[in-house]
Amino acid sequence: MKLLEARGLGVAYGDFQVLWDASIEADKGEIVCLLGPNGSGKSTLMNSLSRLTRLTAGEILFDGHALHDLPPHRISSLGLSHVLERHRLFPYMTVLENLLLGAGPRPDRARLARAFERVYSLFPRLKEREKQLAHSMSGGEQQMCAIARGLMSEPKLLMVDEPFIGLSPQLRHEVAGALRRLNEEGVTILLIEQNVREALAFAHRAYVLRAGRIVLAAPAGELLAGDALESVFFGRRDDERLH
Amino acid sequence: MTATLATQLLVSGLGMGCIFALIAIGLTLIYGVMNIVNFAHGEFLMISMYGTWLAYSFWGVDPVVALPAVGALMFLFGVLVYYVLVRQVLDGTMHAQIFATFGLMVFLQAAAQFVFGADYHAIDKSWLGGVLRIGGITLPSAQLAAGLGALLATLALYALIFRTHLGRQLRAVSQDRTAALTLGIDADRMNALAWGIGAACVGVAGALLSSFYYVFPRVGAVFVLISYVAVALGGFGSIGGALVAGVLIGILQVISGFFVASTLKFLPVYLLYLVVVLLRPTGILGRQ
Ligand SMILES: Nc1ncnc2c1ncn2[C@@H]1O[C@H](COP(=O)(O)OP(=O)(O)OP(=O)(O)O)[C@@H](O)[C@H]1O
Ligand SMILES: [Mg+2]
Repeated sequence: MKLLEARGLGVAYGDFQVLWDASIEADKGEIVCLLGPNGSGKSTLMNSLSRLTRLTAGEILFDGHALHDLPPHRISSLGLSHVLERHRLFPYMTVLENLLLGAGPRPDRARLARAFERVYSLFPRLKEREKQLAHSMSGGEQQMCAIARGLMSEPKLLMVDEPFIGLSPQLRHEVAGALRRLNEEGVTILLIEQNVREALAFAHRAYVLRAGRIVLAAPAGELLAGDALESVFFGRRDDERLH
Repeated sequence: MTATLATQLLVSGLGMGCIFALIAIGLTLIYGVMNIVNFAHGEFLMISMYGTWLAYSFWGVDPVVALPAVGALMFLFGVLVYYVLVRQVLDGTMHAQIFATFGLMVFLQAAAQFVFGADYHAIDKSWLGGVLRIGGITLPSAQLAAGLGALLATLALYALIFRTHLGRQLRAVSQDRTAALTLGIDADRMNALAWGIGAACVGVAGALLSSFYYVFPRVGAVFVLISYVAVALGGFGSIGGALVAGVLIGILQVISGFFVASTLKFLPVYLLYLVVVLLRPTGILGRQ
């Protein structure tokens, strides 16, 4: 069953169009990955789903709601959580305060207790750091805290923009393990990742962006086996050749 | 110098300092949440003082009684200014934002001049008038009460911002607006709230001041200039910094007013400001 279905999305920053006719979907329980070179529009696409960037075209349906008409602060309560690129914690607040804010404007007690239990069992070291200011933690801990904050609203779809960037192999393993566990619990995941092999080993399906367009969409296994990816990352389009 | 005199200076300095701090916190709160300097902050204070004075001279309402109403009305006024004026220039250039609140300042001053004239008004028979004698120490009770009131208001504000979920949401918008939006926080409402609270701060300060200070169209400038210094000194957007700096300035100006000359009482304040800005440009408690 489709949880997310976005069709024909277009985004422009001012007069400068950076995303054209992007359509993506995610089934319940899937892990979907957005791939593509730097500047290809991965974050822009994800930001447009959580309504942080204005659409010039297209529509977004999520779990029975039409997101394209909504302002950004109305999205998380519908069950779509977005963990931004570079974690974006509130630097001068404690881990605890960051997590509390993740639970939404009026969290009720029972839900709060449940959410805390879940994120602390996923990331036990956050419990030890409860009272620490976010900006004083290591990069890896901040990334964990950001994912945990995104989970406090108990989302159906978790979108994470480059969760593994800058992490040591050990931490990467830990974060990937947590995401996999969440997925097994039924959370649908949409993530952005630069490392193609790692992403494809992790995700069920992937979309590949290049210069603001989706140029490939396929199950991870197919992409790993074929050589279609090479041309996206290293090849030139016909119109880029000398002529 | 006798102990009596020292106590008098200290108490009076602390009292003024708390008032400066309250005004400065209102200013720094608005700045911290949306990076806009409210140049009309002093005029908000002036309106509150006129309001208190009007209530007294037309209906005989004492400033102590008028205070909650003036605070609440100023809250609404701040919210109104946000929705009608500030919101229209939020996506505009910095110039547009500066001219919006600067224009409001000029407009409010001219309006006050037009309606009330340039005369100085005073509330002469406030409940808080007279002096208080404790031991051998004589203290002007209006000033003392004003300082105390400002201190209480400041503490209440501090609790609101640092101890409640609403305050946490305000700080979230101030620290990372986009991240706050992804967590379901309505940043636009937080902006309005910041303007409301910022204006309510001067509302309370204005009601307290008017029981012992003259009211005239340009009265805002007297206090707000010092509050700008407190904000810069404490670190832009830092509530604790504004509080510390406000109190420090209050004590400093009373002491120098006594030992040097009352016309020069703010000189050491500006000197201190220069030194701090040169040595630590982000202010006492400011962040990089
Ligand atoms: N706020 C903005 N204003 C103007 N242009 C922007 C803005 N954000 C992104 N862009 C441009 O849009 C294009 C896509 O950027 P985007 O951040 O979506 O790429 P990305 O695929 O996420 O890249 P990366 O892998 O480096 O994170 C780039 O050309 C970028 O310069
Ligand atoms: Mg990106």
